[in-house]
Amino acid sequence: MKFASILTAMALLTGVVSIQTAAVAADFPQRPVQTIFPWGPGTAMAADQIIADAIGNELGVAVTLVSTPGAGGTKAFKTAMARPADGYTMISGWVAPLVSAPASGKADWTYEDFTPLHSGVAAAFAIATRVDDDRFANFQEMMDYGKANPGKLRYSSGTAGNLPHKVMAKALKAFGVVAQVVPYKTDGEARKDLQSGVLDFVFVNPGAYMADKDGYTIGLVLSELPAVKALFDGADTVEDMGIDIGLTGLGPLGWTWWLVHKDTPTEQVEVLQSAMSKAMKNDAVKAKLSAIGWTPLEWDHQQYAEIVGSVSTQISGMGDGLLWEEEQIKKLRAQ
Amino acid sequence: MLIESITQGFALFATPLVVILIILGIVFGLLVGAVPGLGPLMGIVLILPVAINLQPITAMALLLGIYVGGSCGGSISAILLRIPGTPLAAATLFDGYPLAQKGRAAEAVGVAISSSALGGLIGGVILITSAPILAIFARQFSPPEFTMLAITGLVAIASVSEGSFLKGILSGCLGLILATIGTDQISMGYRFTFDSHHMLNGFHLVSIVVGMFAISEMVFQMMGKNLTAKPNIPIVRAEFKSVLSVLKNWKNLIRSSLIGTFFGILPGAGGVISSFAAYAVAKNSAKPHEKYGEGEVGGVIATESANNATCGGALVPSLALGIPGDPIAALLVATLLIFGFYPGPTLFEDQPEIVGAIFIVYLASNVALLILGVLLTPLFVYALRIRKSRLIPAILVLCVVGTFALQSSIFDLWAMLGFGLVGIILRIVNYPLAPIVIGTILGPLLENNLRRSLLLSDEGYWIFLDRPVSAVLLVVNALLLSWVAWSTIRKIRSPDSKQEDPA
Amino acid sequence: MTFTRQHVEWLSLILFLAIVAIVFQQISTDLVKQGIAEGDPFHNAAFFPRAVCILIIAAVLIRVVTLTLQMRQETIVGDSVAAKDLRWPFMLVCLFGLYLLFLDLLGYHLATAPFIAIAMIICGDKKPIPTILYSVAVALLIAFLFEKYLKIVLPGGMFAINIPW
Repeated sequence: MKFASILTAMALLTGVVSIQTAAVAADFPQRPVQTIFPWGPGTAMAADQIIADAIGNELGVAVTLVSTPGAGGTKAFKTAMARPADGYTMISGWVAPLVSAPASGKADWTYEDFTPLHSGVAAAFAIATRVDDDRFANFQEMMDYGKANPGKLRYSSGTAGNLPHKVMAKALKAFGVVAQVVPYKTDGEARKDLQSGVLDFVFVNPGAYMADKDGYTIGLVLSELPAVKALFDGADTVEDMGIDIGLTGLGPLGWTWWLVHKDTPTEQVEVLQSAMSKAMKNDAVKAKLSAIGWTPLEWDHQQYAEIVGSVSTQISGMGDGLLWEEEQIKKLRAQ
Repeated sequence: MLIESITQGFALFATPLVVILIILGIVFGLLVGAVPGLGPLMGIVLILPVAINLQPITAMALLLGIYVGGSCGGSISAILLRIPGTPLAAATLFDGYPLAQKGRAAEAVGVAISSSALGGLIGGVILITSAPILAIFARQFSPPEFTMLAITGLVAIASVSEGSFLKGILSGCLGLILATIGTDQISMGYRFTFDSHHMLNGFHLVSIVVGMFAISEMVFQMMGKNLTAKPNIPIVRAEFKSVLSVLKNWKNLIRSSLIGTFFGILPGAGGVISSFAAYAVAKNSAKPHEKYGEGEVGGVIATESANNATCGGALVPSLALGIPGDPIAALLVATLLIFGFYPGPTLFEDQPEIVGAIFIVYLASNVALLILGVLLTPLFVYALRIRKSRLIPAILVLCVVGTFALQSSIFDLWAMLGFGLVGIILRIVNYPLAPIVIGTILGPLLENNLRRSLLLSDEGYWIFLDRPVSAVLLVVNALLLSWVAWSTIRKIRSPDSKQEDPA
Repeated sequence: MTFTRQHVEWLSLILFLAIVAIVFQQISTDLVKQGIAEGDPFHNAAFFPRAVCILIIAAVLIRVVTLTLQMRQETIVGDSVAAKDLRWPFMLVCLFGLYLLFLDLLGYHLATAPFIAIAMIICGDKKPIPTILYSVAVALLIAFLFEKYLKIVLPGGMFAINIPW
């Protein structure tokens, strides 16, 4: 069949064109760099998009986010690790899949299995109640009610078992309150059901609070940092209420640290590290991130082991509020 | 609230890219509508992967353009070839083709395009006025109400699908099961993932719909004879004065558009039913000198205004409740979900500018349909001459590249091929595919809200009766189900049960 | 050999039952292992798929009854297709599968144009020059749109071939 030879010629034709063009630029990067992002779209993706665009400007190629949600963020890590370690794949290493999942045995890596580029953003969170909820004068009263009526309060952190859930469960344990968690795919849906009156309290981050300050009463800020207290307009912090959640500093916060596969060649890693450092020092980038409720972080790759190591120790050692909550609920249901 | 959302939305709309994509969408929609076998659903399925890589409003501009253009394009081939390009245009054939035979083809096409655009605009006005009201009403909806609404949507789509109700149920169940694959959103456990990280979030919706609809359709097209044939059709030019002849029949236009919008709002009904209903009503209220079925302009006005008004109607429950009534609306809802917007009352409250922009994009698409449709008629006639042998390979490559683009995953492509094979089997024996799409999208909504309701409730399933709206919806669902079950049993028992699967 | 619609009817029912079997098998093994096969609504991830499967079984059983009744009433329901008429669609599916395989191995730019050309030949296009020009043009056009405007990295294959537009 004469088509066979023509087809070969055709494949070669397009092939040669492409190989030649590929060989012209020898330095890294020659094509768009992809960042595996572990969640669906939302404010976290918006923040990472700002960072990706800024890195792209430094590198001179497009930096795209590939949203790969699933399994509490671990699908993204597995996807990224299955790709060639050539510097063309970065990971936005959110604390949940990076530290929290390994701590609860849901992933078989540690934070030391990745090469760090630069820290990204962080957001603290708080417990919010409904503004028109007139059953309780303040958050302490709601907790007193919860203690007297185990299992009657309903709350949500968005996804079950996420970091906010862990921290909220820990705080509830400190109050001695057994409440039923109601999971939602996103915290946005949970906030809607707080407003429609079926939930008693939810987790809220600064971005969502800033967007609708009149919509929430902040009951408890889950951090002892003064900057975080200020973000929530001076509401009571765990420290103010005398609650110990076993986490300090970056520990109870949601944050991301951008990473690459450990086998990525040093030259590529250095190019990416310096591009991201420059991007994160850019004032316009910082302003954009702050405007949507995220705090830009300034630690570079050298501080990774120290900072993330300390968070990792805290999270694995915080004791499981979730386990306690589950046992208590189980006991209640058995009654 | 409405004025604000529209003015804020206008800022999102008024960019060159959005306008260009509306135009591209309309042109592409008219093309896929005109080419027999494709249609607006297929057009949206093919462009979905591209759209997901755009910004939200630009993506909606492209998709709504295809929806609007595709709902009209089928009339061109119905009038000229006597083959409705889409089932939506099947009723247009009754009077459109006789008109063409009388030498009035240009007029018929012009009237079809004008009444589509005007009907679409009337549907748009109803959309803009009623969706925000429904959204305000739905603000108090919580998991029990959404559980019941999801059931309504599923029962409705299964019962009105072509083929039998049983097959509709089976298709819907397939969609529901596909939706459970991956990480369970309540317990965070893994279901049916077979320890593969590819499966941790289930199959991507796009690889399901592209496989089921596009791949299977291309293979079906191969069954046809003469794939290299070029139909010889004379070029037709439509004129803007057709608008006047449509407006002269304003009663018919408004009545048919209202019928179309009504069927659009109803879950499950859709454009085919609405165009036949509008045609029947128009025929019944015809004046003695109007001879419907022999080339009466009124017939084309009725069907085409109705099926485009349906688009506006279908967007009402999709945007206000997040419950889509037909597969196209389901894909539009899915697109918004992928962008992180949750259609429903929250969207109207938190992101009114997105709602406003969608309203404006929808209205603008219909205006663009009128202008482009009339100007470019020769192009669409030319498209009818494209050889299948060139179309099929190009569409297959587009499916591959588009699906790959979503997550840069070869696994998604194999999944797409697998769903293509399943789609072929199901289509051969007339399983409706629409319930699969609706099932995949409503599945998580149903399951998660059901389980959330039970977690919220202190007394188990009684929560569905304790809340008044949920109780009413529960009764509606029960009535709907028993009516469908009764009519199915009667059909099986009746002697002509072999007519159940028309070939 | 000919295929009738009834063969495919039965095949579709087998497909549904196979899905049901997989679901129940997974529930009784994997989900039990994870502790999400029973319990309260929070933990019971098996409740919903199980309920859907029961509905499927019920619907399949009714279909089996109606199909058997139809078979008694008449010998052939619906039209039948000779196996040889399915040759070309079958080849297209196989070619498509091969394309996916080569896409992974050789990358988009080496695999696509030949795929389009062979598919056109299967569809009956006979003239070599227009076929080649069309296939190369479509392959490059689609790559251009996706790589240039949507910043997609198309599969590069083992040679990592990508065109920096």
